[in-house]
Amino acid sequence: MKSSINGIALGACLAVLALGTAQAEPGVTKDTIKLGMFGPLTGAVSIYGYPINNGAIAIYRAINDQGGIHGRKIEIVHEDGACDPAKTRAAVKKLVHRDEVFAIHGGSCSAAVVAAKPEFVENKVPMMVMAATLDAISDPPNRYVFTTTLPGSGDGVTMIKFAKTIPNAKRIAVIKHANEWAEAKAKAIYASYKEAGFELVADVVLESKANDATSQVLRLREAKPDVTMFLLYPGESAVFLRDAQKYGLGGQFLGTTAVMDLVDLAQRAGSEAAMKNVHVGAFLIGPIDSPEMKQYADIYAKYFPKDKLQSLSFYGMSGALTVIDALRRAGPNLTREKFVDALESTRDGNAGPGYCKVNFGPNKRQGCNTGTMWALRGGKIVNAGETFKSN
Amino acid sequence: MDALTLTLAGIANGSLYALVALGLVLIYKTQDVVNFAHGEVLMFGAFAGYTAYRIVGLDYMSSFLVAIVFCGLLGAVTERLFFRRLAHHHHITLAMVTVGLSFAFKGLARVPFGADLYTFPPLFPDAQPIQIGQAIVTLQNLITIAVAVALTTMLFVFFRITTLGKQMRATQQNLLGAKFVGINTGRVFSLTWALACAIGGAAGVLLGPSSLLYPDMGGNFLLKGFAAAVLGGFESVPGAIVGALLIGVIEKLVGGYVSTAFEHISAYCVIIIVLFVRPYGLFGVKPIHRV
Repeated sequence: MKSSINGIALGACLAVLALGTAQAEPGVTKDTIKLGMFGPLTGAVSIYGYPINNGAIAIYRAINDQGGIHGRKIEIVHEDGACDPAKTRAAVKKLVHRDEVFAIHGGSCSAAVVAAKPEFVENKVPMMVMAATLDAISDPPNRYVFTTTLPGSGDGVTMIKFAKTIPNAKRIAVIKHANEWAEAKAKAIYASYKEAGFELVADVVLESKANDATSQVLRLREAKPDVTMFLLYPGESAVFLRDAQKYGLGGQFLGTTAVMDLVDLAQRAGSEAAMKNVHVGAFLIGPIDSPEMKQYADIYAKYFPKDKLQSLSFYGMSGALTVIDALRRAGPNLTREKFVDALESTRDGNAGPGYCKVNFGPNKRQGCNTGTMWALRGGKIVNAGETFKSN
Repeated sequence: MDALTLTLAGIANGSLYALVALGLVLIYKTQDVVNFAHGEVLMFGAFAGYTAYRIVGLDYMSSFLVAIVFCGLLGAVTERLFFRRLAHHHHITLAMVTVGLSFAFKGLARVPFGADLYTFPPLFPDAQPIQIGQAIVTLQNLITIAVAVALTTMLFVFFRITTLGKQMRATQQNLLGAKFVGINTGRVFSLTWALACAIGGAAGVLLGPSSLLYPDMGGNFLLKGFAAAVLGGFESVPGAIVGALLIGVIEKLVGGYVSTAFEHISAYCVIIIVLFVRPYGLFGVKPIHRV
């Protein structure tokens, strides 16, 4: 009798302990899973804030409306990093320590995510990168950091591979911003152009926020490149293409995935004529108005009916779908470690509007490494390239 | 490399810097305030012109005038609300108020326009670039230079000929003396801010077609205008104009002949060198303190 009472007491203690442990998992309750999200919601690059984050939020809300994951609804806690490294680190600190989120899905500015990385790594908080592309965020791999966005090096590799398909192209030139975002893409180009049979004839810098590219275009024109790769933000890409047309810079122009919105780019550059020889990298399955994208466009429009639908609206969706898939596979007794294991075991995962199948592994944290090239023809975005695997 | 093309592009950019610098110098000469919100005045001018032209559907000239009037009123209201009562405070206090206004103005612009990028078409969108020998220049650049020259000339005439202009100069030279002779210095303050901001608004519309419109667009131009004023001498209107043109041209020539990586820092390097030799700027005069 005594031993059975002891057994019951021990069982009760273990049950309480187990319950206590379950409740102690940060950000997880019986009904909710708290996810932290951050991005540049204010400031000069807030163009990459709400549109990108809202795409992910739309996916999470859709899953909540379907009953959630193992009975739990996703709850989002939003913080503003303003694309500033110090502010972003402070924002992530708040999410981790004050809000005690279960995991984080956020970050569209590379330098800001790099600055905040120690916070989620040291505190072992799983992190799915929203849209930041710098390779250093996820390579070398860290157990807690994942991304489904085509990394910067992938952009560079896609451009070089596409350049190889251009007949008689031998001389290439690069125009880039002087920052780590452009440098990551440029490094991939520098590493592979010789092997691809190209000669680098010019390499010039255009400051971000520049409103004139006269000196850069004249230097490029003097170098007579067959292909010019512009590693520039959307606004500056427009300035460059406008001045390239103005000063008669010839050859083909290859842009990064940052300028996937080719219709917008043409508008900003002043005319579709400036886009005649322009191809840009893409990591979406199709232009925003294509049939392949319709189901995702509908989800976004359902939850954010007042927002303008743009390519950015889809950047965060593949990460959200991957997080949801891993949460499901991690099971009802959710812990951060189980969630990380589930993420790590993702194979051929659904990237939604992303142009890839998501694959992680023990030493692989960049889930998507395929890109393609788009062009603007007759006012419509068309696929102009095959699938280019960057590794 | 075509030096003339680079020089013309530099003069066009420098003309915009000159308009920003003019606004900064006018306010500084009158009230000893460096207006750190002046970049946002330029931004408001660009958006006012954009709204009038693209949304309301006015013609280009009317949109230009709308932007000038809007920014002029904004300047007068800003002076009356924020600076009239603080006029006798330390200049650091006044400068901090302008920093606060800069943030507030950007926030206000984000309410209707968000964080998106907007385009303002050129006056003649179908105009082909003009070839002058080997040099290439756009009609929009020529318009920018011509309007900047016209505005600057009108300003000089205003200060030299009109009674109001003379009252403004008197207030700039000696505030107490101006009060003694019966000049309504409060009105002069308001008018100075209105004039400075109206010029900033004009710069915004001129900049629109060559740049993109977004709430943070003014910051870069404030820096360049500030640098121009420092180079020319913060107390000198002609100095600000010469400084701005020099900065515009130096940037382009350095970008074209030295390195594009140095294009944007070249102007600041020149300023450091000039200030070592002439600490009060190219046209500045060392102040004389009576003891």
